[in-house]
Amino acid sequence: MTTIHFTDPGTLVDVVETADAASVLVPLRELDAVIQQMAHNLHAGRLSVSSSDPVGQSATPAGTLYLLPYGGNVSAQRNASGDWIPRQIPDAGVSLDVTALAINTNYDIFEYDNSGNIALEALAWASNTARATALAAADGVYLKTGATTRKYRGTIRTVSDGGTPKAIDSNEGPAKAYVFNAFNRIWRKLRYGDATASWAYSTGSYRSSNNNAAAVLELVNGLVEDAMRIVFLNSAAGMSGTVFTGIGWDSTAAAFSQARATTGATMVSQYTLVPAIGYHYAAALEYGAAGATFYGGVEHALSALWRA
Amino acid sequence: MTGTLFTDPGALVDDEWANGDDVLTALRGLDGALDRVGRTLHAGRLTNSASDPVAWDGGDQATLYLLPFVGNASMNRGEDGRYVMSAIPAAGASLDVSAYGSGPYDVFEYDVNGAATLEAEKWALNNERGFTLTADPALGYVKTVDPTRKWRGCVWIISGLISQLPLRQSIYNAFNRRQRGMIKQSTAASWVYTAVSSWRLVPNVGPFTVISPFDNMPARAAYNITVTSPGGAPKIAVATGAPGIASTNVLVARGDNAVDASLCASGVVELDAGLRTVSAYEFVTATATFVGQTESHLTLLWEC
Repeated sequence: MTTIHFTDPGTLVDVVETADAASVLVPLRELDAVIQQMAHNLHAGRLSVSSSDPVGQSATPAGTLYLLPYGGNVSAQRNASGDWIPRQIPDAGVSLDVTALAINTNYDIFEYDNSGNIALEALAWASNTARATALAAADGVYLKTGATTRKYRGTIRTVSDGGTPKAIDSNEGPAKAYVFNAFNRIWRKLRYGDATASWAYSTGSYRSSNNNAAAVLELVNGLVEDAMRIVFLNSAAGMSGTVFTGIGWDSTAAAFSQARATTGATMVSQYTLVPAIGYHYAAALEYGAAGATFYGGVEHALSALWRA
Repeated sequence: MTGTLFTDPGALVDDEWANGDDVLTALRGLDGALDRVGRTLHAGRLTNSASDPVAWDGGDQATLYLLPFVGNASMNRGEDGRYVMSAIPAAGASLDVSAYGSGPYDVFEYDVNGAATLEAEKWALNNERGFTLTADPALGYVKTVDPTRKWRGCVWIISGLISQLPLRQSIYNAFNRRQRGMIKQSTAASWVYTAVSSWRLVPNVGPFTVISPFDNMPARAAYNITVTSPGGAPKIAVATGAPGIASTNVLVARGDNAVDASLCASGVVELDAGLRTVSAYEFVTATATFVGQTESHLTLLWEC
């Protein structure tokens, strides 16, 4: 790597004004090398289900995934020679139709140069928690193993919208963080609340809160880099024994964090973890006792902070 | 930004550029563009892993690395005061700390012939630098007495080793930080606390230790625990402090006499500069039983 001093435009100009043609090539090559070096770091933009908002979320599944400008609009693409070429993300973004993908499947999203334009492609995972094709790091950036012109942009998980595969990134109703960004991640709130005023549960075993399988926060994670924090708050009263509420991780039958009460109380359980790659969910759980009534509304909230 | 010149590096070295005003125009444009773009480029992360820039459980290691992360280009300031672009080697820039004395250090990056290089300088005290940092418009912070040294972060060295452990994170990155989730669950099913009206450190739960670069750095902390058969009103707390110095309770929750309950003290805490602890404390006015395992977690979200 050639060192270039580039904060004084006059320096290079002075050299050129007194140099012959051959000498001009020297600083040009050096500048070229600096640009190459800089381009390794240029990864503006975010994957989004919105056509105009790079941080947008919606409970409505979308048939198109976008790479939108965010924090700039330059994103470097790696060519077959290993050089990084800065390309501009169009104002309207780069789109990818996801309706031909498989349903309920994780996909890595790769970005590449298509005749001077940025393009996206999707690659299915082998399972909910394992890639079919591993990522390979080069120059501090993740690439597709075996096709290193493909830069890893993130991971999505598809859902079924009336039988059609769609993408979704929704913080609540449902809480499905199914768009994970490799670059320029921001905080996401995930939340599930049960609006039912109250319900009885007297059985001494764990089940989904209010026996509702939708009492979950779901996400797909592409890189093991950031931690998430999960909290479940719920009130119960009227019990003649001990009741529990808890948080299940990829389970509705066991809690990895739980709280209890033997008289009317609001219980809070909390946990922090760095999720493994792939699809995961946190479930709101309850464990009843004779006479127990659990409360919903503002006394019921499963929430999480997550970066995606 | 000059646009087309960035899209094809090969065009820059074609002979067609080597004449007349076109060359000067191109050079001025490129130079200005590089100046502006370069000021935002600070790839890489400090880690004690030779290969994983986001390792959080690499154990105790005698070598600190600056590894490529989200690119490998890093802006520095040359000896003549002008900015230079350095490359972080694929194997990382490394610093052997095995002979370093115990304590907090600032880690600085500087350019040596186009390559990012590291050095460390020890703080005067465990909670105070003996030198100052100065804000630089392009580099974040630099060492005041030597602006060629870009501040990369802090490490805490203990007997020549740097820790990245579940309970101790001894590296703080100035750039490209990630959220660390620290959690400690008591392995004991339960324990009895019989002392009266006295706070004590919860056995087998933490404390966490992290290095904080400045005063008043925020972190999200919580401690939850179930208490049964309390003879009085029990209390729990999240406390912050420094090793060997009494901690201060900053988040407190209480239960009621003779009521089994799960308590949770949760909120945002501030950590001052240096090696800082985040601990769980418990308090009873009469004998109480605390329940561990899945009902006892000290957690901390810390960006480093």
